[in-house]
Amino acid sequence: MKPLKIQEKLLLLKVRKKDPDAFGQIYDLYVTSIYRFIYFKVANRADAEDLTSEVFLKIWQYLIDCEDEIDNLRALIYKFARNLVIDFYRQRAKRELIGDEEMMLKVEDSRQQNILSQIETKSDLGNIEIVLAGVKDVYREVLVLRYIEELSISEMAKILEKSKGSVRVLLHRALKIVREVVKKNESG
Amino acid sequence: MNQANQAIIEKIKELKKIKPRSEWQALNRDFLLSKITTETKTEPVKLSWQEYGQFFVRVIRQRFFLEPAVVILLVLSFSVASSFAVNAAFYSLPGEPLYRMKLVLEKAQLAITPSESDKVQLKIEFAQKRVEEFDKIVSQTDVTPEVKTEQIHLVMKELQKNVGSVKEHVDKNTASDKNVSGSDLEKTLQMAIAINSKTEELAKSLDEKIGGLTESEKVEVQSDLNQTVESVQQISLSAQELIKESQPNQEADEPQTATSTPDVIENQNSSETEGQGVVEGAATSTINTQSFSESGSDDSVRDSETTPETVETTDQTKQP
Repeated sequence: MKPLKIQEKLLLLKVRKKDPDAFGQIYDLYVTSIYRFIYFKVANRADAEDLTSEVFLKIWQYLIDCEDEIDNLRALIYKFARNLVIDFYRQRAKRELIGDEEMMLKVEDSRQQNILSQIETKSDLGNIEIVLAGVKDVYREVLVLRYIEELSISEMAKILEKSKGSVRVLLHRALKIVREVVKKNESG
Repeated sequence: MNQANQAIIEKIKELKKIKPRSEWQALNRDFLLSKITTETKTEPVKLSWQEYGQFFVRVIRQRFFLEPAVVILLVLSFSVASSFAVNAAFYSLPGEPLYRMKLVLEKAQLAITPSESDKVQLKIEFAQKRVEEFDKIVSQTDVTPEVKTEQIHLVMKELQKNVGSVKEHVDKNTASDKNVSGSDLEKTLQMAIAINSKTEELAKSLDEKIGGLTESEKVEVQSDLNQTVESVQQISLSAQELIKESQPNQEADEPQTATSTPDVIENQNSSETEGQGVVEGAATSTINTQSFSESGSDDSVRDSETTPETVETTDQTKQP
């Protein structure tokens, strides 16, 4: 559900005054989208839940501390989520480097492993989800933001810190790649 | 290719079905709220009206202030609404809510009129409007006699005000008349003529309108009417006086301008004939002057142009 801009601004005003109810409402508005967005990045429900929770805690802290004008709360939350996922992978990579090298080789890409484990169990929805899981993260990200979360190109540009033009190019390429993979799967 | 893309997009959109577990969602909400309330001092906020006001002003300023379409729309709707209101006010009668607005608009019109004579004309126009309103009130059939009388009183009051201000103006002009110069005098005269004709019309139509009243209404408004008619007549009289006063001045001016032409020509002649035969020059000039007075002002101008040459040729023939 896309919240009204004015509703969002009003909630922001209240959260700035440390109103937990307003924060609860912001949570209700965005939790599903943020969870889904993170889920497509980590491909694991438990990790997605933990990270989503963390995103909201960070957002609360940011909103009550920061005095800058917030133009687009939705874009801000997605940006936080994106950065948290990046941190999540960085930390994991660090841990794995420090730990057993053999272990690291086994868990080469935890996200892909998660996906692989799900392939057998998924049938109906799974098809396109697996295709998405197989494409590069940048392509999957733009497709999710645009067609599942229904963000505008300018919102996406803000979240991804890219120009609108390059977001469009990315989208175009992502669609092309997914189309080719689907075609290949169907023929194969 | 577009169709293929569309199919892919539709498939991707199906993934919206992926949602967090509802029990986790609820539990996490409680967890988050309890965590933030223990970590920071929180309290439910009730925004004051002032804060709501500030908020909406900020939102409007951010979102709409510089959007040309919104600005154009606002200007348009404002102008349409105001033109409707002005129009409605134009047809309003005393006692109606928009009547005040009509009077205010008239005052505004007066205030932005720079010329004094235009102002008087406007004032007279407004008085005529009052008479028209009076007419409309009298011809109304769907109002009770009390309302009608009330409206007549109001319109009479306004009419008296209008007439009073015209009168003031005329009186002022009569008083300052003695000191006015050429062009102002002309203006005053024009104004007085206009006032005279218009106030006569006004008095006449007022007289007619009284005829349209019923007996009881007549009694109610008789004194008001008499007073108004009287002041209208007074204005007419003062205007007539103004005309009379300014006319002798004009008449006195006219002969002066008539005699001025020969004078000028005589002067011209005398300068041309300087150092030559004075007697002959003077003789020709007298002849010319006589011909001017016979042939009217237009010819006299033409003649005056030719005079010096004539004088010169006459003089040359006289020279040895």
